[in-house]
Amino acid sequence: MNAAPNSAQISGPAEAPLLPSRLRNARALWVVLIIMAMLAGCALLFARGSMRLSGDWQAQLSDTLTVQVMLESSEDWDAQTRRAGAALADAAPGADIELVSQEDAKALLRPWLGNASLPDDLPVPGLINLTGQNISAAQIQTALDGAGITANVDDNSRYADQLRGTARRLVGIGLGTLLLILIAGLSVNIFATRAGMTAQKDIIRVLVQVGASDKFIARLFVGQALRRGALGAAIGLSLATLLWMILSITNDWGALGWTGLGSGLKDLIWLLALGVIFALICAAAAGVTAARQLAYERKRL
Amino acid sequence: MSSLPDLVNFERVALRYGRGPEVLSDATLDLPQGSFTFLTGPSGAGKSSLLKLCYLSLIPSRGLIRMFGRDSALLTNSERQAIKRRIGVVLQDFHLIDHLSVYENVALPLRVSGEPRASYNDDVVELLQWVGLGHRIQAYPPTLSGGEKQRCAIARAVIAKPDLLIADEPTGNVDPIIGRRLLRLFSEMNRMGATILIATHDTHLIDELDARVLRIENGKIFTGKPS
Repeated sequence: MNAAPNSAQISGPAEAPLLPSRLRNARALWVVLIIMAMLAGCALLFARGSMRLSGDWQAQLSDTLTVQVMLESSEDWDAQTRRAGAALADAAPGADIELVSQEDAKALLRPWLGNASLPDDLPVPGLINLTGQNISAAQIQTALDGAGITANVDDNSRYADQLRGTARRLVGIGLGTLLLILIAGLSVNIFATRAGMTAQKDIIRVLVQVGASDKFIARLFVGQALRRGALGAAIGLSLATLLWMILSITNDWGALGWTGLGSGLKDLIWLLALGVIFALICAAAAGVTAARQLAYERKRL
Repeated sequence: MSSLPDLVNFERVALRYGRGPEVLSDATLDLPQGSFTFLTGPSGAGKSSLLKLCYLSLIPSRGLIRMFGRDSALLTNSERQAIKRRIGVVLQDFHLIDHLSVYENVALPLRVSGEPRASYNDDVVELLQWVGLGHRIQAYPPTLSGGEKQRCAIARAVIAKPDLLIADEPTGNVDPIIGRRLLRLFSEMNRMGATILIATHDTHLIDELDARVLRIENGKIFTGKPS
């Protein structure tokens, strides 16, 4: 008999995991989890980007008013527009006032009237854009009425509502996709746990024989799934981050992508939370599935 | 010995697998606490099935089984597992976990019951040396011979000092010297209060000890060696 190691030699490394860490077919599961985490990350980033974009649009529109000056004749177009501009400067002293030229105003009609040259006597309204904070449309309308100028003040609220609706739908699509991916992740883990329990039935039999409770065995699968989910999420979400970074740099996505450190950092915190949720979903699916499967096997005895 | 309570008690127990014939019928058995019993009988007589009922791996088709004074049919899952922790089992096909070392396999019952490694480390090493596996502590089951696997399985069954040790042909794969050493281990455990039930074909093993012998024939249990 060879020299036996003493107990001090044995007690070095940590206890080996009771479930084998490398399983056949586990590589395919890793790939699925990484892709799911990456897609979930992209869906979250899309939803977050849509929210940012919506906020950006809202901010831009809420600070802008468009005044349509109804002109009596086209001969004194510039003069009448300038007079309206002066009245606006009095009514909103801090605002930035932009008088749209007659040519540019006509150009805005082209989408409706086509590219044919427009008649000179076409009654094109004078257009003035006002940009500034806390401009009241009602106040501007009163000032113009007081100056005897017939004009419509548009605070873009109808356009803003449409944009808000569109942005909400984009956010909904992003979050809906994220939810579907998480549900799919749950299903994949249920399936993987069942397959794992079948593959490791000999180990489970031994554990049951030496007195391991269902809770103890389920915890082993929870630990395995948690590690798998956390690592899958780390890799998948890192890939999503990299992809979003590249797309933000190479495309003019505006607020949908990352325009600066602030938006990127906030999104990274959300991604971190998503990673935790992803790993917890994997663990919960494994725990519930293992417990139910063990209870079912016991009933079948 | 008869004044001690029965650790295992079967009353008119029958067992059938699915819709097949009864493997055991009206089997009555009692294992008093601290007893040493050999179970023998021809192959296919139902020895392994009887042992499975004893270590709560099967539920009888009819009849009453009391384990440690409790009706086994009324046990909750946690009570069942608690009783299992008081039983050491050695099976014919060893049931070792391939990715765990010999040391980890033997320490498994203690690990499952939540004991810290430091508390059992010396016991595991000492026991492995006793069963002649001191030099194979860090080996993995696929690299062990049949006899070494057998000794590893026995060490695992006894490491937690069970109240009841059930062994199915425990010396079937080992040479006579190791076989006698293992029998001495079982005797020592019995002397310390454990109840031992060993199923075996080995009449020499039975002759080594002055222990009760039960034989199983046609699904029924009789006392005494086969004629």
